[in-house]
Amino acid sequence: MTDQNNECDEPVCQKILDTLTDIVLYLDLDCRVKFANKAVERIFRLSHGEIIGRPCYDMLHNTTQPLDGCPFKAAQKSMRRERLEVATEGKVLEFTVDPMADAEGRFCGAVEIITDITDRKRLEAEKQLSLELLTEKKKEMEDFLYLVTHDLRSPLVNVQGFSQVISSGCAALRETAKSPELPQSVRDSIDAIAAKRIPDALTFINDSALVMQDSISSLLKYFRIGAVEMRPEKLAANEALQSVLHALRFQLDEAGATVKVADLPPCTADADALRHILTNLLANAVKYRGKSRPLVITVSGVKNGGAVIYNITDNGAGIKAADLPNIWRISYHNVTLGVAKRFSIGLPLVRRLAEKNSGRIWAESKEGQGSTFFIELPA
Amino acid sequence: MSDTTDIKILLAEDNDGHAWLLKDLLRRAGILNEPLRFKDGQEAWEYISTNTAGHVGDYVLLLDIRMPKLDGAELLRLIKSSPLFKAMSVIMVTCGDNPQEMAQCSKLGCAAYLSKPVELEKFKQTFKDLGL
Repeated sequence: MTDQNNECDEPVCQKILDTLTDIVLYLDLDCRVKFANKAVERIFRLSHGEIIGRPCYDMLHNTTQPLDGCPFKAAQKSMRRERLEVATEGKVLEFTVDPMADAEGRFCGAVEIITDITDRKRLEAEKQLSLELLTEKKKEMEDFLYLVTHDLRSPLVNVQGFSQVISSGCAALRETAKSPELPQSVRDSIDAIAAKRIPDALTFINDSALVMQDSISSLLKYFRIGAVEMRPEKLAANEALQSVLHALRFQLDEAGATVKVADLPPCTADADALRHILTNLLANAVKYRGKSRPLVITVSGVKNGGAVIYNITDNGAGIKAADLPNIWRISYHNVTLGVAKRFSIGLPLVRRLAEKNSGRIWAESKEGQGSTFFIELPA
Repeated sequence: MSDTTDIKILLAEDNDGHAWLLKDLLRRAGILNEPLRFKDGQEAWEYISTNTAGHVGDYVLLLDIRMPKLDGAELLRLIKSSPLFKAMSVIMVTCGDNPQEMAQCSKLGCAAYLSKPVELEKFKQTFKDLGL
């Protein structure tokens, strides 16, 4: 090899080409092999003598004429790179032909590279299969949602509806029991059942039905968000926050909350999603405020490269360190009913919205001292 | 509520409990005519298509969406695409709160869309809004 002009002598060129795993052929005007690297001998188990001078279709495909879609013929016509994939004996080969031109620009032969793309094709097929599986799963999820909406709510409607019927029946019974014609002991007995025992039982039934209705609605809401298309736009976060604070005014006032707001840099996100995130986090701060001190919420934000980070800090009840990673998970809420009321479905939904807007959300907290929620969104 | 004695209520509802509750709701709303109940959309369509032509204005159809054989949305489409029956007032009464489903029914021409369990006041108001 000569360093000055980067030219190779023939044996070195041959060595380079022979090192390639792909087959390299030089074909003349009649598609006959004029040169072949060693790969062709390895892959097709042919000797050098069996290769040179032979038409490439005869050698490669065992045919007496070029295949349909032969890239050599196509390149001869188009004078640019042409490709063909051929599946044979459990392998998929890709034939790539680059045309060569003489001094007058006329086609005078071609370089053909043959690559074994079996693995690549297998991976592509697997990817396609995964995509199809994903689409199928999505459809299954939609069907499941439909089932949840109708099949779970349907019995619930009966539970709630007939509870009301029993409740109004009890009221009517109590009226009837007031009749002086009935002995006092009977009246007392009816009253004990119709005014206390049955209404108490109905309270449990109604409360449970409401919890179930709420869980179904929350789950549906969470999964439907997945189907909602986000429309990111440049948002004045200050205005968004003010509108959310305005909507929450009653709750904030009732809690005696002080809200300190710093100037927030703008972000790029879906307007409804940002409003939803802010509303949920602020409402949580109110809901889980500390009982021993007045609630103070601080909202601030910084620009951080291509992103902005908003912080919502409260001096509320805080979250146990062990619980902190779980607040974002739906399963957590379903497992322990007492804790479900603590966070409901809100935070998993908020995180999903942040992620759908190419952002993220996380929290830091000290039990008994308060929490800070961080929302990162594109600037 | 104005005089409702001439209103004929058709109730297409596959769930016996829901049908019971809706009949009770009608009574409590002061609509004392016994509704005619159908257990699926097909039964309801057979009745409507053979009995109501020419006086569809006398009827109000309370229509559940998810039903066997012919679902409520499909029955609504049949009614509203027929010149003979499209003037019939149809109130969808369903377990779902699917915005797409609501939009679809509204587009097809339902008069109202109520989610179960239906509150009495909302039910009364719906009839009032329909001028019944």
